[in-house]
Amino acid sequence: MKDCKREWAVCLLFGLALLALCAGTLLSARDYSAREKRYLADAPTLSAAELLSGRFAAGTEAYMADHLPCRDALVGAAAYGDLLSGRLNTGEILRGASGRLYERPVRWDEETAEENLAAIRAFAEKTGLRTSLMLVPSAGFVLRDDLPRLHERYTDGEMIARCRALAGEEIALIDLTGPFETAEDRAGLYYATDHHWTSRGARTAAGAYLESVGRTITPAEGYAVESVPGFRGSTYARSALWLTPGEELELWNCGGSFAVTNSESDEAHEGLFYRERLGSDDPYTVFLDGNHALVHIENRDPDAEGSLLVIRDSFSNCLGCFLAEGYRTVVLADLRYYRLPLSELCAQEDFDALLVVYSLGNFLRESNLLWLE
Amino acid sequence: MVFSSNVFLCLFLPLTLAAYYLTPRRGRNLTLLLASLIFYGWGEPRHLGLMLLVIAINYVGGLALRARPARGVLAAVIGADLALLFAFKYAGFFCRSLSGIFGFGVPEAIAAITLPIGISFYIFQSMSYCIDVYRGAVEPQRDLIRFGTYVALFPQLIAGPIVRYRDIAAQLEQRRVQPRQIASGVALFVIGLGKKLLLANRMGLLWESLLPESGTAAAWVGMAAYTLQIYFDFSGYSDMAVGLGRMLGFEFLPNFDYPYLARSVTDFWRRWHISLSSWFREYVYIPLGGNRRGLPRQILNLLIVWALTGLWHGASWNFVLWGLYYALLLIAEKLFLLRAMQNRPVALRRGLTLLAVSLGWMLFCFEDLSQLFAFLPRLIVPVPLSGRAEDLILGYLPTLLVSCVAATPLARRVWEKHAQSRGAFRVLCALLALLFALCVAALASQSYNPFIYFRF
Repeated sequence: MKDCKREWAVCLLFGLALLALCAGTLLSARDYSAREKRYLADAPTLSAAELLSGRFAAGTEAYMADHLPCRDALVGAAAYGDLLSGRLNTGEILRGASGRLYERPVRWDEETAEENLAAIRAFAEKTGLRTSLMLVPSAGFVLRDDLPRLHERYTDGEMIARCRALAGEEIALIDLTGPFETAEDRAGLYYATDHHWTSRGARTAAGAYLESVGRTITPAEGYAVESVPGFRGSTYARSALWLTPGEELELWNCGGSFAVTNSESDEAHEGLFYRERLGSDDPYTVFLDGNHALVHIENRDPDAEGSLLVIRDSFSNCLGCFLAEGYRTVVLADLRYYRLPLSELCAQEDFDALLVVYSLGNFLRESNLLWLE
Repeated sequence: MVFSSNVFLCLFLPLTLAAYYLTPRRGRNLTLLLASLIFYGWGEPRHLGLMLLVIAINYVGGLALRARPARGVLAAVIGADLALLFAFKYAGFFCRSLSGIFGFGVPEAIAAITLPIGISFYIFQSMSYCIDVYRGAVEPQRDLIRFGTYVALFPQLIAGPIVRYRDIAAQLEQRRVQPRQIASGVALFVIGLGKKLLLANRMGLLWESLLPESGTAAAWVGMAAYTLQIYFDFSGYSDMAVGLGRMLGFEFLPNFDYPYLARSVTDFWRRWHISLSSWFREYVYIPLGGNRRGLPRQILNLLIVWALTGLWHGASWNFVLWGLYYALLLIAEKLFLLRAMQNRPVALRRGLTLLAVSLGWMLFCFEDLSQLFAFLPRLIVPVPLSGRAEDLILGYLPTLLVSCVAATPLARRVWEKHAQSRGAFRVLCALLALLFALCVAALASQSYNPFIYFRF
């Protein structure tokens, strides 16, 4: 026994490690992962049918994987290991020189671009609405000076130019690459830990659109800005680089009076910001309560006039808050959830214009525009 | 079940080890057999019947061969083993090949057959047992539990090494688990797990990421990554198997001996999957006459053995071609190449061997030969590297370099040199603990999956 003291120590340590893994997993009380924003796998049900089909084994593996003790810390350790070894920047999330987190470059898909643009053109023709298209360049393209040394080239400018050529003359393309690249505070246009644009970025984009249709937006200094610290968004969660500091999420209030309703709730919400969301797992939903099939914003300013239909992705949650300043009514339709013919809505609402807003990446992956009718 | 899974690491291994050590010594084989059957039947319980059938056939066969060591009895047992192997592994392949020639459809019942995991390993083990009993090299095992434990022993069940019965016959009867043996088993298991999760999986990812990218360098680095992946995957599994064996009191023979340092293809096959090449040499090549019946017969024997070796690896023509590729290289070495290269620098011999082996892995990798013929020109035709490929290569460079070093005995030599130094054991323990933590972290990150709506 004395001769083997060191070997016994190894056996004991390994045994304790296995025991900790086993007990920690089986006794796990977690059922939700806030960082992943999903419910963790339930313990599988044992029955002869489940066992024989192999579903019990698959379910157990999923359960064990989800309920590993110290899972978040382990995932973080793996991510920092990837960062140290240089592999991190070959993955889905890149870490810039300043510590900002970027999504990897968008891949061009000519077929999807052509199909989506044809669908928008056909819809514009059918409804007769003045139609604009806004494609949001990725943060990596606008802030390319901050990117790590190893990174694929961001070609958003070329892709947006190609979309302009494919769109034809019926659709006015609101090119944000110019205003974004010449903005004074380019880093302030996007979150450092989320793939969305900030309120500053959304205001710049809204200004570019409203100017193109002969309307105006409140000057930047005209807003009462409220800062909420500690925001960590989607790129943070996906990177698992848990030591990345939080940042400020800004709410820009122009001082107007707005009422918001959405397809999931008939009750009008006073104001554009859902402050109760700031304490949730996804504080970005403070803007218009996040994603809904249909969001209806009423501007109570008696001088406001006109009505705008926006076909959009989540970038318009924040953008919609600024577009609302320029119209009496703004309706945001998310085709991932809205399944009724949009032309029927157009017949009911008497819109003045249509704006299609997607991040470039989402636009090149979006398949729901094909259902536009 | 695989070793590099959460179920194995967090549930099966701790419970099995606890049950095993708590069982009185005479009942340990039964504990091990039950655990092995659970291990085998975990993902696909319907194949458990096949495993039990193989155990029964060879158990009865061994006793029958002891009572009447006739060729006919041996042929019947081996025939039954091979029939099962053919039915579950090769029937679909042969039907598809014949249907390609004669134009008939593959019967649904055959098309629906799925490959039972590890079938080639445990059937080859069982056949070696019966042949050895027939030859009188071992006594047949009369205890069904012991025999079942030998065939189903979970550490080497699904990826080898192929353990000959005579190598562990005594251990099946009586074994003492010493702390020194367990500790070395733990070390070997953790090293194997690290090879699989930290090196093989990452090299696999690099290979898959580089495959669609353009660039001559991307093709070469991709081929190197696949070469490293297959080594660390397989040798990692073998290390884990040997390590687990030691934790349970078994001593399996090593299956790899730094094969990428081989100085010839002949040398490579003395270092790669040693248990398989030994099996084919002992049970096929030598019975066919080996090199004792003249050169033409030896060449024929090599062609037969290597076509079978290829086919053993998978039911597809590319594996047969891969085997014949090695047959040709080995024949060339026997005829003139070994002599011609004898006085060349060692580095040149190692480099050329590694090149031949790496090209061989491409034959192994692409089951669809049209993909292989599309890939091979990419190694020759000069094409500039795509931006993505450049990023991948530079991003993975540290892992590639670590993998290259880990494929040599450097770490082992450093340890051997300093093993007796003060504090060396603690450093080793700390490194092993770190390696284990990194492995669990890698496992955890595989399941980390932020919900998709989050993206939009």
